[in-house]
Amino acid sequence: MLASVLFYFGAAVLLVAAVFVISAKSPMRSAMALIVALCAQAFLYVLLDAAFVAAMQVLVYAGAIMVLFTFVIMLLNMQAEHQTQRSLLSFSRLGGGIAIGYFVWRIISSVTHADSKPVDGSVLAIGKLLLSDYLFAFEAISIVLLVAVIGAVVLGLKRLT
Amino acid sequence: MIIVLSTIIKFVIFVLLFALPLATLLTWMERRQSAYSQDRIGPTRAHLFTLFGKPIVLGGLLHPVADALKMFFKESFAPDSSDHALHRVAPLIGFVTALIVLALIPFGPDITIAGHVIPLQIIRLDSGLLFVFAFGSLGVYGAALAGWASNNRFALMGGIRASAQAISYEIALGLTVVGVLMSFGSTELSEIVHAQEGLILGFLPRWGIVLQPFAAILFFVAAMAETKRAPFDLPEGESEIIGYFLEYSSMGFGLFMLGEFIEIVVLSGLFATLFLGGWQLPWIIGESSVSLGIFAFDLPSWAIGVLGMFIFGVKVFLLCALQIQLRWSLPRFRYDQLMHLGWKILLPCALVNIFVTGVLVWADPSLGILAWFGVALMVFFIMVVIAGPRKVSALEH
Repeated sequence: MLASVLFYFGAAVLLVAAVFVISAKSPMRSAMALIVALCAQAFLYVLLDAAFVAAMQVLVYAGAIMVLFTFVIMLLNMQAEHQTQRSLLSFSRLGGGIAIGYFVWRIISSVTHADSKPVDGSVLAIGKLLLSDYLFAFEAISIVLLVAVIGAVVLGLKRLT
Repeated sequence: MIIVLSTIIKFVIFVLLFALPLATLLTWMERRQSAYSQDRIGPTRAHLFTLFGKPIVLGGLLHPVADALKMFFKESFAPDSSDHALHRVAPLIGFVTALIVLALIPFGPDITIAGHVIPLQIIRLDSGLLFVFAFGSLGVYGAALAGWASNNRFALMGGIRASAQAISYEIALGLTVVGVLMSFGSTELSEIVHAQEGLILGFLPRWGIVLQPFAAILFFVAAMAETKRAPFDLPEGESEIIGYFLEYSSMGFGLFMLGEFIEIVVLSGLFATLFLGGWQLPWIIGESSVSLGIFAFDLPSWAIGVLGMFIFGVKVFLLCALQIQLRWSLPRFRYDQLMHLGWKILLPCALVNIFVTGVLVWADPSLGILAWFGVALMVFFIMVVIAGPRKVSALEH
């Protein structure tokens, strides 16, 4: 009972914030709504007994990546947009429609084929999985990130001519 | 039912009766300590009554009360061109996230009352330390939003500086703790405190600062940068840009100020938990009895709890005093020095610490070698401090 009330509360916050992300005119309000949405998602993870994933969600996405977003918004001093580019609007509608359709289909198919089983979401269990079964994927992601860092440094270097 | 009730009681004791009054007291302490550091008298004006023709100022203790009254009764003003909603929300963010972090810190041992085991920690989560960092990283939005929503260039610069500083030092902060996690093998704060029980090498407390002195220094520096206080007070920089809270008056400003002092308390609590054994003292508190060298006597569970809370409170208080003393001892960094320290010194040092700790824990899982290494490092640090900076002759300048 309490769990479902909390779930609907979190889901409602998530949806309202997500709608606000795309409807807000000011980029800063949009970014703040995205942070609220990410935190609401983390709350839903906590309800699923995945506290570690929730902590990582807040720490990495809401706490680090979104700080960079707001940093860029503030550095460029972006103001509210008053006009949208008409030419791209039909494309975005089409793309958004396809994405919504796909995700609705995934949700319905996952709800109707409910064969999920509970997993251990503790730090210990996830750490063991990451360093045993998923070691290759884990290391591969680290290398991808390293490549991204080196790429950023190369692009950011001033040309010494 | 008992959980809800005990959580409310713990919240009242730890947050309302310990952390918030301590933060208020710190505003007074900062005034007194800065006065001592700068050879001034300090706050002398606020008083309630006069006795024999002399105002009774109680050493300036009434100044926080006068401050609070002033903040409450001033007009809360927002510029017309500001983003009103964000302007209003911003002061709350830093304050609330700091209070959430406080809820994860254990402030005493588990006590048993009428058959119920009650941990003296408001929220106990398996990934507690990660949540500390998660909510700590959200705190910067208070400063960033305040700077943005005020629609004032100086405030905006303060906000930009705050977010750049937070992002730079968060990485170092997160990495320094990895060494502690490796030594104690848990991300749950009360388990980290339990892992620091007793002695190591037979004569030293098994504290984080003995096993990880280097990480302790790095953590303290990076965490001080996160609290945005001198020498890391560039987001405020009152002599150049006034700060991200430039367009705040009344309780909005008051919340920023109180939030800063709450952050000091949170940082002290975290440091005490991770590196100074939390609520325990190695030679005094055992499992359930108190042993003072030759005497040992049993105490009821609640008394151990009260003793633990007292020890934790003393440690937190001393660490707060240390931070305030640092604030009045060191000048502000220049912006490039700040970035240099964060990215080129703290971050590589934290990585080296992880590597060395990993090797030493792998070589000796009972942490003996790590402790010897820590002792050697501490002796080295003390010798460096005694030796002082290199004497530079006048000709070299």
